[in-house]
Amino acid sequence: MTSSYMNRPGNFCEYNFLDLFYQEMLAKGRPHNLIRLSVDPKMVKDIYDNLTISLTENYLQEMADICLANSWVEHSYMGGGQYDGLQLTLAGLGIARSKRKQAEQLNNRNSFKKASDYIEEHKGLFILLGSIIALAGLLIKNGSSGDGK
Amino acid sequence: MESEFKVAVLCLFCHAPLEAEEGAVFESGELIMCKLCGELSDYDSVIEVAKEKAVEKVKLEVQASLKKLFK
Repeated sequence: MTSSYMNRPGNFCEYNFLDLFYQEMLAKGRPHNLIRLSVDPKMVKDIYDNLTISLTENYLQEMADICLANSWVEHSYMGGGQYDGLQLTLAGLGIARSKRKQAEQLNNRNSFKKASDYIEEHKGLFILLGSIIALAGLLIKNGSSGDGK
Repeated sequence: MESEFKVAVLCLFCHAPLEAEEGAVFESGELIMCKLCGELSDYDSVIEVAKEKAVEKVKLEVQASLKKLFK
C-alpha cells in the first residue's frame, strides 16, 4: 500500500482527485452536493483526455479510499458500489478550494519572490555548493602557496 | 438548553484547532496556515465547515430538549 504512495503517476494525488469534483462543479455550474462522480473506466479516460495522465482504475480507487477515509468525499446514495456516486463533502470542497488558491498564489509570485522561494527550498543544496566552493578555494590556495615555496 | 455554543475552527487537512498570533485578523479569501501540519486552509471554507458543525450541534441540542419536554 505504501509503495503506491511513493510512486504517484503524473504527481496525481488525493488532492487532484478532489479537484476533479471541483472542475465538474465549475463545468456544470452546480453546487458540490449536486455533483456525483464514480471511479470507473470513464473517469480514467476523462483524466487521460484532459490532463494527459495515464492512471489505472485501481490507483484512482486508492485515491478515493483516502478521500473517503478522511470524509472529504461521501456516498451520495446507499446500495451502490464502494466507488460509485461519490460527492464532495463541505470539508472536501474546502480542501479543493484551498489547494487551488495555494496554486494561484504560487503562480502569481513575482520573479524575485520565485527566486527567493527557490533558494529557501533548496538551501541545503546551496550550503553544500558553498562548502564545496570554499573547500576548493582553500585547496587551490594551499596548492599555489606550496608551489611558491 | 445551552444558550452559548463554542465551535472550534479546525484545519481542513489534519483537523487540529487553528491558532493565530495574538491580534491577527483574517479576511475572506485568505489562507490560514496550520501550525501542526503546515497546510494552508481557505478561510471561507474553514468558516463554512465550522458553521455546519455548529448547526449540527444546535440541532442535537434542540432534539434533546424537545425529547425532555415531551416526556
